[in-house]
Amino acid sequence: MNTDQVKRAMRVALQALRQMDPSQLRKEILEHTGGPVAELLVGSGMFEGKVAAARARTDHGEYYVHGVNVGSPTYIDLGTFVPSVWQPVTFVAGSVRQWTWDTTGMVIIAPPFPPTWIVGESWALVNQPYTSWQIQPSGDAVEDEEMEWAKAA
Amino acid sequence: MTEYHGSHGTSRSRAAEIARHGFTLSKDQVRRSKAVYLWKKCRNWTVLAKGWYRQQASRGRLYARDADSRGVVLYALATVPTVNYIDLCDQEAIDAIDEIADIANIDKSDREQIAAVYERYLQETERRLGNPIDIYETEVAPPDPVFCQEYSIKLLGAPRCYCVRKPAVLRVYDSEETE
Repeated sequence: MNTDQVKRAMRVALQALRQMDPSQLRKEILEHTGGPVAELLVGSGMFEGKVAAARARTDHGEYYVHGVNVGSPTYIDLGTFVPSVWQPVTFVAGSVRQWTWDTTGMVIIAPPFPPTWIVGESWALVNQPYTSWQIQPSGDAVEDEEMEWAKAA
Repeated sequence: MTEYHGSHGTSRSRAAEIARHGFTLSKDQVRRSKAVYLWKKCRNWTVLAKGWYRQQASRGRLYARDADSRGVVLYALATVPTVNYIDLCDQEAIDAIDEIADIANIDKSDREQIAAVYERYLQETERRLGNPIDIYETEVAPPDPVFCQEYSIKLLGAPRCYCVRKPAVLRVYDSEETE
């Protein structure tokens, strides 16, 4: 049973949340999940089947993650894109939980746009180190066999 | 000040840790927000705590590394100012949580996202209250009937639990060893 004071606070709280921008509320809520919040540098253009990458911060440290898009870009919150411009985008990885890769909360990010800044870098997933990953400098889609490899990693 | 009594099923190793250092907030995946979970004192509070322990033990992960993984039921008391308690079984609160989840387009099947909705709502309410919410009451599903056949959800509905967000307010005053 709630006191009148608590009930009033509950109502005012709900009213305040209703007045928030829904996307901001969503972001704030997903940040509570403790999942990695990744900063992506993404390119523009509607491409399908691209590879993307990001640097993710988690409670366990900072990791690089990658993913393969298999369809809809609506899997993630990519924000607003400016055509033909590479830009940093922040999203909350909790929104793509279907891409969770391992038990640390690592998330595979699946935007349809490839970042170029990771080209040639060595990558390491938690407990799954690997160094052979590359993304085409042009930002074009990687070959199918690389995508298959990524899925299997 | 109001007293809230609840039961808590765990392993004996963990109970010993609790006896030494008190309850701590778990990093394990939770049903609501991050808190210590107690079954609200009721006729079945021991049954529910034992069932919870059995369920977790059978899944093999939670207590697998404990030196003594046998079970124990702890009976604990939280003492907090009434204004630091909130009843989320209140229909108004339930509707608010559902609405917030809709506004934020949250996956209602995802435990972490559900927990985050609760946490966000509680934080906003705390802000309006001007004081922390140390404990809240909510309904949760009972343990699976395989582990808790004495509790009939068909007869009784979902049991209530206390989610204690500030473990320092908890004091264990009794315990009962189980299998």
